[in-house]
Amino acid sequence: MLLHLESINAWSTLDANKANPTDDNKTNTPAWPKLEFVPAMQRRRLSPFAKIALYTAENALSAPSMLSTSIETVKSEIPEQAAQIDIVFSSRHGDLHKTAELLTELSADQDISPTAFSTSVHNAVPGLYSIIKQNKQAINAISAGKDSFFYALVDAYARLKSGRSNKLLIIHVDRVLPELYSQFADEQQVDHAVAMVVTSAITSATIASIEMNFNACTDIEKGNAEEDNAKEDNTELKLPAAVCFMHWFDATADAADVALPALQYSSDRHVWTCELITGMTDV
Amino acid sequence: MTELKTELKQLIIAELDLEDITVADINDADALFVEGLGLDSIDALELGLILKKHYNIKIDANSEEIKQHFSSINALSAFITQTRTTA
Repeated sequence: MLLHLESINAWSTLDANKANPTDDNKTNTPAWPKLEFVPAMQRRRLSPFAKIALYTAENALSAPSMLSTSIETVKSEIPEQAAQIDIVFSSRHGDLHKTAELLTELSADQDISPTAFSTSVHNAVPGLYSIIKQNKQAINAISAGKDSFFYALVDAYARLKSGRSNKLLIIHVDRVLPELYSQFADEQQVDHAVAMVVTSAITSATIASIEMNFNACTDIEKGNAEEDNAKEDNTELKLPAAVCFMHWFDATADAADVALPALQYSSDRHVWTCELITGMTDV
Repeated sequence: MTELKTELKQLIIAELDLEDITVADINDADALFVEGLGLDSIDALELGLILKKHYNIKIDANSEEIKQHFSSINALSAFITQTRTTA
């Protein structure tokens, strides 16, 4: 599967802590993005989960590669792109902090907040984005365990290949598990969001081309055994797929001409590989 | 009465996540919905929940009068006071 990237943007507590270590030591709470582009009355309903997702989506759509060089057109192009682009949203757990709270209230026989309820569905984040941006295009929302991020890429590829769209915005987001579920953690816990714009063909804005493939995991029992061992020692747990992807992509981009190894990520079900394709500069 | 109004404003700000608004920003006679404070239909549901949780007042969603009771802080506090005395 060949995907062409026009832009990519990520936010994670790993990066946020690096950028602002003292702040983190004091409060242990990341400073969530401000989201100036969202009107205040809509912004007040955005959870941290929604905020980091929309932050990366907005950055991906306003990346320099996405815009013409002329300053005059820049302002009008962002809303246009954001209103017309198809969206694939993916998250392994969704806004679990919100749903866990709602479920706790329900189990205690309390009335739940209409606001929280109305934004608790899996596709709430791209839905909010579509309202803010007046986007009436098709949106898919995906959840597929540890493979959620890569399945978003597969879904994007399928939609591009079908010819129904030639450009897509992919948004992936996950947060650390709420306290209530922390004992079930089977990955390193990182708040993170990744957004990227992908196309079916190379365009003048293409910044990278990625060849992605996956196989069924043939040795599931071995994988599970490794995981059980890892659970006892938290440091051995793997990073979430989207974070692995970003680390690989950043390293590959930094290395410029040096050929870096392909990314390999294995979940319980699949082994995914991504390879950066270079030398495709012809438009 | 003034105490109740201040309390209502504090509750509205806290429960509806009005980040940039303070008690002093809300005038007693100003519209709460659409104009004035600019609240919407989800806020109306949330406000109904506030009344139930904090004042034990159950709202009849089909009542025509509810619109009037929710129109301003003045109307809301009058409604709460009235319901309390008749209950």
